[in-house]
Amino acid sequence: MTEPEAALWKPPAPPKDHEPDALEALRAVPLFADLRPAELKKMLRIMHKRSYQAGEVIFREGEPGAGMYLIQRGAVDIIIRLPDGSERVLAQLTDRQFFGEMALLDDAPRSASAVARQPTELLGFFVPDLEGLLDRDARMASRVLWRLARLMASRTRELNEALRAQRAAPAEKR
Amino acid sequence: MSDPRLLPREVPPTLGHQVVRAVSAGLAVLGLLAVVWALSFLLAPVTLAFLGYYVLRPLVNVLESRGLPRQAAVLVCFGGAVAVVIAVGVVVWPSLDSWLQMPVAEDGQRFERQLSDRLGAWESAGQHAYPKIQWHSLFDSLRAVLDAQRRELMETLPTMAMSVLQRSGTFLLAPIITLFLLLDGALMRQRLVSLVPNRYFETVLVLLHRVDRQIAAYLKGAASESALVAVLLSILLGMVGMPHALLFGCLYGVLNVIPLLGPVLGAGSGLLYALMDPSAPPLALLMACYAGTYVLDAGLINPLVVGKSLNLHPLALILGVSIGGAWGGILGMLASVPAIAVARAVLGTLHEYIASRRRMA
Repeated sequence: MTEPEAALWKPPAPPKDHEPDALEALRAVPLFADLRPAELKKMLRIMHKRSYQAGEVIFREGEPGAGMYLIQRGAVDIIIRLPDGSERVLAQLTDRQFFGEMALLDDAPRSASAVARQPTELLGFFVPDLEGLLDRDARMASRVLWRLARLMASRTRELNEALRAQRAAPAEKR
Repeated sequence: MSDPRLLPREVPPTLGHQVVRAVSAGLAVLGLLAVVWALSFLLAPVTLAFLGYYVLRPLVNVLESRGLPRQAAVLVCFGGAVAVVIAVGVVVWPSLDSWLQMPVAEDGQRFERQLSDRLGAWESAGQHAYPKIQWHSLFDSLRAVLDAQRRELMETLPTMAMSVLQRSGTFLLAPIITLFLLLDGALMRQRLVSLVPNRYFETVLVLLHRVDRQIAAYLKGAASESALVAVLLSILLGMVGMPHALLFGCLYGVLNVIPLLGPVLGAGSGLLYALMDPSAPPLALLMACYAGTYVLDAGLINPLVVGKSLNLHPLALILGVSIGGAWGGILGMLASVPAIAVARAVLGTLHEYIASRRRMA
């Protein structure tokens, strides 16, 4: 039996070759900071590994979002469309950074586009995976959700401060 | 950092590309239909396997969430389900055994005599109460219809039983497929999704998830309702002295899953049997049992257990059940509601996807 034939008859098993690298990437994500090593491995089995070429669109602004991505290797540009139709790079992300996590919490369309700047490998964690985790291991899922809630609270606070600063600036000018 | 051309533009497909895409999609659909047609003998066991998977999965998940490893949780639930099936078989088997051992002629004569006695009693009661009505011709027609139905049933039942026995090897596949779906279902889905190109990946993932949730919500409710109704009716029928009460209770419970027509079929089978069996209790008592179960189900069990898990329009249900019945008989009717739910999830997701592409264009 040739190798491809043998692979066809093998029961499905998670790929192991990228595991140490991917585990390191997972450890660096604040969202999974509360998870134990065994739980990180479980999380890795749940996540989807995707490969993108340089310039390939990961998702577009306005599309329905399904979840978040973690950059295992590579670089990603987050781009928003301005009212005049031009586009602006909002953030340039590299190894072990993540994006798209808002889609884990609501069904709203993507608020920005994501494009791979170079050949990039991503790990995806999506709403179906989160709901499945809630069904099978609610304790672990609640730890992830707790971290996600804190992350969102911190971002809202930063946004409030930025708005306050923006409002205060014209007042000082007057 | 503002640039008018940062995001790669999507080039609208030319007419030639659109034609090639449409032809490819058509060929893919035809190929898929051909494969389904060639493997149609597997359709029933695969449907049963998915039914078992969706019924057992919540239980497996509960055990897993309490700390039991997945494999152990699957074995506990699968073993429990097999034990329940064997227990029901052991309880129901004596009834079937005694019926199967009875010679067909003797069986037929007994039922024919009983049917004739019942109809004769009703005819004379009608004649006594309203003598101006032509009861005789009315009952003659009824006798002819019932007799034809009885003969057909008596002749086709053994053939049907033999056909089921001959296909039992194929049906044994169902629990095996269920077992592997419970063990590796999530991984299988992950592998399947990994084959989807990046551009459609998230849409396919969401689509599969919605289909999964729709079927799971419906089957969880339907299985619970079915079990509750079967237990309730079996107790009621047992209390009034109906022979094979558990058999008819289970039959009603299973058929009850078919919307609109199910309760009629379930109650009809029990009442028809009672019409022909001298040891059965009076029909009025049985009708009260079936009506009471139906009212309790419609008013209490269904709203509590099933709720509005699917929220389908009655017209969609009627059409779905009719098409399912014409295509696959009772199994087709049972599968019709989840099939409509799947179709709705697929069309809804595709509509959202197309709408979002148009919005961005």
